[in-house]
Amino acid sequence: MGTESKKPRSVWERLEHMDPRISYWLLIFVIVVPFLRPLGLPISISKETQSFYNTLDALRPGSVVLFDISSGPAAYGEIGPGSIAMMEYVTVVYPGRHEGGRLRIAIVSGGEAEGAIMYEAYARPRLEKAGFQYGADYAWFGFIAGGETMVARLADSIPSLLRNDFFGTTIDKLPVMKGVSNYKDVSVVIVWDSVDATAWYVRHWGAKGVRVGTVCVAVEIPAYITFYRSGEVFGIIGSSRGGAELELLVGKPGVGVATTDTLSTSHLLVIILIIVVHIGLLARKYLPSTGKR
Amino acid sequence: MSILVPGRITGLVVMAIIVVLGIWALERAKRGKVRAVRELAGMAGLRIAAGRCAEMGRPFFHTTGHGGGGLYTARGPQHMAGIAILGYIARLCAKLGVKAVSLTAFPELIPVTEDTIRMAYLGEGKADQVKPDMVRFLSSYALAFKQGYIGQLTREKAGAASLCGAIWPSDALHMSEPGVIIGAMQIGGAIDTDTLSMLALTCDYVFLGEELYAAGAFASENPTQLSVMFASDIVKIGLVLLMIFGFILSSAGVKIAQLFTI
Amino acid sequence: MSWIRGKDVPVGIVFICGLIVTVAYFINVPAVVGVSEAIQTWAVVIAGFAIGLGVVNMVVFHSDSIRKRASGQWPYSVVFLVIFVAQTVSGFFDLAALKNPVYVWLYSNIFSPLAEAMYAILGFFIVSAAYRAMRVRNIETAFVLVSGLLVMLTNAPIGAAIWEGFPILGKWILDVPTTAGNRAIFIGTGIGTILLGLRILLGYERGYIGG
Repeated sequence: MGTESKKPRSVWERLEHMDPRISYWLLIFVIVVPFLRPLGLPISISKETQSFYNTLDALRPGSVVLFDISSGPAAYGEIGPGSIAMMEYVTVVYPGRHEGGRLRIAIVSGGEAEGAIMYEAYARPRLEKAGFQYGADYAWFGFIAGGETMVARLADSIPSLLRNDFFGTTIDKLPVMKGVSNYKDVSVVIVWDSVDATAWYVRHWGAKGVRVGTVCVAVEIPAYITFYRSGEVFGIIGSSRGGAELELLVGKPGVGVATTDTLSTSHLLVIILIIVVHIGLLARKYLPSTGKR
Repeated sequence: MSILVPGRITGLVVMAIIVVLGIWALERAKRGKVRAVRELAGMAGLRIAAGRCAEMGRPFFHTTGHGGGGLYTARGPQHMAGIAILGYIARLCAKLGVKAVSLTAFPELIPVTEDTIRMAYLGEGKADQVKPDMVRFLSSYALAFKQGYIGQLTREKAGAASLCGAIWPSDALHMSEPGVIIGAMQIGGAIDTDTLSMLALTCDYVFLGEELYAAGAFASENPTQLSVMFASDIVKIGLVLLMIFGFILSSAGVKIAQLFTI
Repeated sequence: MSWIRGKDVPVGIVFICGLIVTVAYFINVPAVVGVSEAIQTWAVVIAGFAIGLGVVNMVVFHSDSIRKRASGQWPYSVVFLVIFVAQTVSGFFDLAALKNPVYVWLYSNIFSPLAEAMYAILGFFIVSAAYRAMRVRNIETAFVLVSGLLVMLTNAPIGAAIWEGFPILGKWILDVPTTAGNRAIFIGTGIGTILLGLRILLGYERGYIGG
């Protein structure tokens, strides 16, 4: 930060140029406290989350849903709550609301090779626990290299790219993939996204009329709101806040709801720090005795 | 079955128009009719940063980032633009006796960046200053790459850093904040809007969106390449007129949007 | 044979491959689409071989740093080489199932926690960056600050608890000016990408072959 003046700094200068380590300790404090003593603030449901839920709920049993897990364990903090809530919905709530009918689920990992870990940790256990049969109700195809090029080719011909599942079984031997040849046979695509993969699906599947939904990290929300506003994305589960909202809609509050209070306290901290900076700035500028430069 | 893929015809027409205009602008420039293009603030920033490194005796770090893919993926153009900027940085560093260091996330970028740096130093008659550790591959895994970049930037106390290319939004703040902490001057550039918001918080100069590609053209110091910006401006004017036209027709109840889905 | 080592051959190869891949995206001719897919597969394979180059680069750099006892760097280089060898060697056993206990232990107990910690650090950096950068210096920065505060108060439930108008204003900022700005940048970068591709195909941009 450059050489520092040896003259003692006034209080206002200290407020204006606070050591960032102080803000780090304050952040740790405001994150830990709500876990020990939850604030219990009400969480409103955003249009994007409600739309995500409604679209899935309106699918007919037997509809094919393509999940693309383009996210690794490092992004679990943001995507985890939404992903888990979505799996709870697909495996428990949807069958409950549709007289036992199930969605047919094809799972790939297009943008992130570590998607396989997310599948093993968060998708497969819930599918098995809910009694979903591998091959008949869902199939896992593993990481498919190629990024956006792969997504574009997948839209045109699914069997040519997904010849075998992760375990080597050919696609024609998987009942869940019967009759699925291209984008026309897929009802919705849902992307667990920490690598901008939703944009690939919007460009190559959404452009063909397939509805695309996303469970994404916070930094991607402003860009995906653009797609949501134009109807190219049917719903956004944005970071842990979106995950908390989906948990409430699904009726299974979990980690997302538990961490929403920390959102409030940490955001408040940032706002307070910004106010503190401006107090120092304005005091140095306008108070006569503060030794302005 | 039609020869053209349905749903992509409008895209083909738009691309063809842009390509024709681009070729026209290039041919015009080759005949000497070069339009003046205002210099981007970031280019001046690169020169100031190189001068700062020379005064402080510190290296100038550069990276094209990770971005989720290397040269052969959809992120390739962004890496290319970043490498063009690296060439400019390397020429400046060679002139001023500064060590230029490029950190890459993809191995296929290693020979490209080595050649770029070597040619730049050779062009300034400073081939003896090129060292093998000027190009370092860190990791193709984004988090490991970021951490390696942060570690080397802070240990070697870079005087300046250029983060221009395929930078992910989460990488942008991770990689640029330590640069602020050590007092390095930073120039950023990306096409993702999420990344730009992060770079704007931490960098002294930022190439916004398309300016990254324009910076690549500026970095080439070739007026013919710069002339392509003229084609880009004409297309944008055309799009604005189309937007106004479409707004009027849509308001009148004409379903004009369907034209663009053929 | 000097023409083989000149820049014209690589530029020619780029032009032909680029043209085929571009045309294949728009037309339904199986032969062209097949060649395009083959080219893209070759690109992935060639990039895969390049990992060997990366390994050599890393090992040389870190070995040099240890040999020269580079200040502040060499202990990390030792750690890197040890873990690199351990993870690589263990990964060769039980390759298909990836169940080698050493590999899994290193991945689960070193790699994964470090990756998650890296993501967590983002929170701290955002706080210090916001504190340092979000200051009112002129009218534009005032707009940035107010917009940022409103969006923060929209995202956190406390905003709605303080005043129900915050989420409404914040949503408007996300839905209208942010969307408009994003769309403008998307369009601009789309045009810029096409023109950069044109410059590369026509050989004006030669950065990928060292300028």
